[in-house]
Amino acid sequence: MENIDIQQAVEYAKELGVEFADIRYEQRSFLSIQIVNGSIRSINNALKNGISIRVLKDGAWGYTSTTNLSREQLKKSIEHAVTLAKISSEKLSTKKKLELPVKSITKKVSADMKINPADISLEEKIKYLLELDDIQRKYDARIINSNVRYTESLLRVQLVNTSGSLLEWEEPRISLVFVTFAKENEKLQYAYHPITGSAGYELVNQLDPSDVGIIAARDAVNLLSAKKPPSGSLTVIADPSISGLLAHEVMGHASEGDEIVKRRSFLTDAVGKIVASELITMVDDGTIKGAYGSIPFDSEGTPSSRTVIIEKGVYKGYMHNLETATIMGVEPTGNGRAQDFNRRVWVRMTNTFFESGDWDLDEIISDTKEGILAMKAISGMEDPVGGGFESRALMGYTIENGEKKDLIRSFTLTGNALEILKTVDAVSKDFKLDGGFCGKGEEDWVPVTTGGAYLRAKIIVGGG
Amino acid sequence: MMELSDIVNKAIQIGEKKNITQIEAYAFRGRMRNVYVENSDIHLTTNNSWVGLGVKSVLDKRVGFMSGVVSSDNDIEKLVDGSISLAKLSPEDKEFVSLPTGKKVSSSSTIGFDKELLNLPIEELVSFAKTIVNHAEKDGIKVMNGLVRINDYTFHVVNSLGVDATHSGTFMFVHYSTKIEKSEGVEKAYSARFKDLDPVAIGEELYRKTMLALNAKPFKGTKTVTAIIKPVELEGMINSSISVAVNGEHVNKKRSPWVGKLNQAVASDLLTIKDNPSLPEGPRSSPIDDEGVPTKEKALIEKGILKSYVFDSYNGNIAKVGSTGNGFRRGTRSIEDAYQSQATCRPSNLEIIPGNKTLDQLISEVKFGVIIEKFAAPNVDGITGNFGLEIRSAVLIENGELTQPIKHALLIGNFYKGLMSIFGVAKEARLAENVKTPAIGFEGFQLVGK
Repeated sequence: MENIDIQQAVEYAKELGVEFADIRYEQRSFLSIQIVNGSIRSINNALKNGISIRVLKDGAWGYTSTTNLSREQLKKSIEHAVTLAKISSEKLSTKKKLELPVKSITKKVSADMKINPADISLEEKIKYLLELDDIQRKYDARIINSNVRYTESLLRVQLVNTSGSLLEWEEPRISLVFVTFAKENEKLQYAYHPITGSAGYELVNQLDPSDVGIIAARDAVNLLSAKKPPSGSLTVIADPSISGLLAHEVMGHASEGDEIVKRRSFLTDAVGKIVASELITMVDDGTIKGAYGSIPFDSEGTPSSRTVIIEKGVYKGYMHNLETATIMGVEPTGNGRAQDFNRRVWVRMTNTFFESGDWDLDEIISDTKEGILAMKAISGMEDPVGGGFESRALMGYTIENGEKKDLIRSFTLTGNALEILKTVDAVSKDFKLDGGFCGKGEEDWVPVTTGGAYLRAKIIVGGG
Repeated sequence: MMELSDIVNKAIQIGEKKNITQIEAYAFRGRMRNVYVENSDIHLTTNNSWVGLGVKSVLDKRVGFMSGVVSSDNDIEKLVDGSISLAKLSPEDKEFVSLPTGKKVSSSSTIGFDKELLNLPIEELVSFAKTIVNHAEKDGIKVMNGLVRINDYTFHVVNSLGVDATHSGTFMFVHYSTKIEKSEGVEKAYSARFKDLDPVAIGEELYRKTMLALNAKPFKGTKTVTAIIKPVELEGMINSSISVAVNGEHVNKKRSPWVGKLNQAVASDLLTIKDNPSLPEGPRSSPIDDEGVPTKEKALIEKGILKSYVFDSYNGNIAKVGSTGNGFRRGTRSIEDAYQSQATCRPSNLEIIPGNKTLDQLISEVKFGVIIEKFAAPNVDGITGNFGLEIRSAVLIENGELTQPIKHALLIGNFYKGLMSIFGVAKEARLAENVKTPAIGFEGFQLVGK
């Protein structure tokens, strides 16, 4: 880290009479390589360093950030944050004093990587990506466009606060995403395949190119002859990308502490109630080694943790940042996250999923008389107020008399989340987490994973 | 404080000393001021500022791009050197032709810039946020979340082929949600000018939408309907479909469903869409794009006929038509990462030309239909045009009259086919993100109850 004295800066905030302050210095490096149709479309390398200053005064927050790392600017930014908090405070209808439960922690956590991507030459990465692209592009003559996007990033954070914490940590992330387009006559279809993790280059170079390179290509080509899906209330086996959206978008967002303290969530006052089949256990766990959404600490310096949200069908509890934990009188769970130094901290998920069950996927299929297997989520939307579930699947299969039959093209799954979860009668041993980015209020993107097990439930299907 | 002109000129000077073929420097100074409302009260007020630089270096046909924040001369040198190193390591991009060449652009233009927005005191922004709350919270409605944001920025782009252009812009974004019982209201508002946004009107519209959602009943059954979609929801559908279909890169790569359809009908003759970089309230209004190429107003669809795609310089050169002034890096809601990426093909502001009938007249002509107030997320599959969208709030239209508010239903169809079956385009247009559109009525979509 550069020698920026943020400890001294936080002392200055104290002198200005704040109730609490934290200062976070972030250094983010990012490399992306995009291959299109066998050529390099772009290589982007970015360095993004900045400081966020957050102060709590008279019950309101003031927050500034800057990329000017001079001592003079840091001082100004602290003073301005205090001014902003005062302005906000003057408009508060009720002034509350927040005694944040901040524990003083001093700790340094280095990135857990076997192979640092920085140690692999750009030439080697490009050669490997071109090989992967070549495999997908040559899979079938109907492939009209092939894309491979590789990204690696390393976030270094230093955080101090007025409670005496001094933390430094690193978050490495890597992803490889294939997107393939296939065309036949007037039919145009596409498919994708992501590989993500909080890891080093080992995540990428351990792959077998001939396996991984054809997945999106095969799906896109097969979709050219896919049939229209059935519609209605169907027995659906949701793959981890779809079940993960149910976990994340509906149950997860509605379990974020800020939605609870203002009673916006349909899960307000749900603790202790039966909300799902007893086969359902759902958690948010930021400590999973190598998962894309894992973090050593959240953006407030609270260590990440495993939060059981539903246990055997019974609702257990919520995710919190410092503020919501204070209001509800519980411990923070390490879910106070910010997209970056320019953005607010609020309650966010990490890795959110349904725990695995006792069934093999093949057993679930052979046990299904009539229904569909829904695969590869392409969109989904939160609904913490109404508890509605909406997800779009890229593809799937009809199931008849225990066998996968016709490939079907994209369709929408919808329904009330609690009603769907109460109908779950099979949960797979098969378990998968998919990494991506989660927005809240349509922005503030943080890395997360969703997924878990395959679930069999009754879900409304439409929109082929 | 470093001047943007000093940053870009220094970058070019460093690059030109190192025997590269071409170089482009894009410096961006941004500020984002937010007031966040939580649970009826002002919760957080922020002021975020940054200066960033993106450098593209070209060695023959090898291209490298590096970006970062800038707080010293050393940062500039590091970024230029980094982009040159990447170019040296990159294989040739056989499709790359050239950076754009310089063209004179009027420097006196204030399109997309509002001095009042730039200088608005934060106290007034806080009052604006609170006024919305005060006018929405009636009859038991509570504001759950609110955001009032002002973005202001200046960018300066210079390249070794004579481009040297700068632009300052502003825009404001408002996003609120409410709750009453188990129903939610959502309202968004956008403009590059402060005078366009009235907090009282935003609060009252939020109240109206919340009450509508409260009175909504689940729809049952399945019907083929005329669907009138209101502007804020239509924006999402348009940006996820038409903006994809006219994107020059998608066209070049044959991913667009409108490849080879220039001068052919892609929509009903009721539809005319312009790419309008001079829209006074538009967030992407500016005399230049983010490569310094002059922007120009153009028809994308004229009376249903596809007239133009949008190209940045890279893709315009591949298509042998040149840039259309549509190489953008700036977002339409926030601008934080503008310097971090290379320009790509995007519309500036999309303006759908209003029709002759008022929304009420359109409604009066519908035998059975629905008017959409809010989808869960108004996204269309841009490649196929398929969609199946959850309706969070809508009102049935029966025999020309608005009747029952509904929810818990899907609107299903294909948007590209829907464009060919437009029933009517209303007179009253409003801006949502970078799309100014009236409500549009489509025939033949399916309304599926739960």
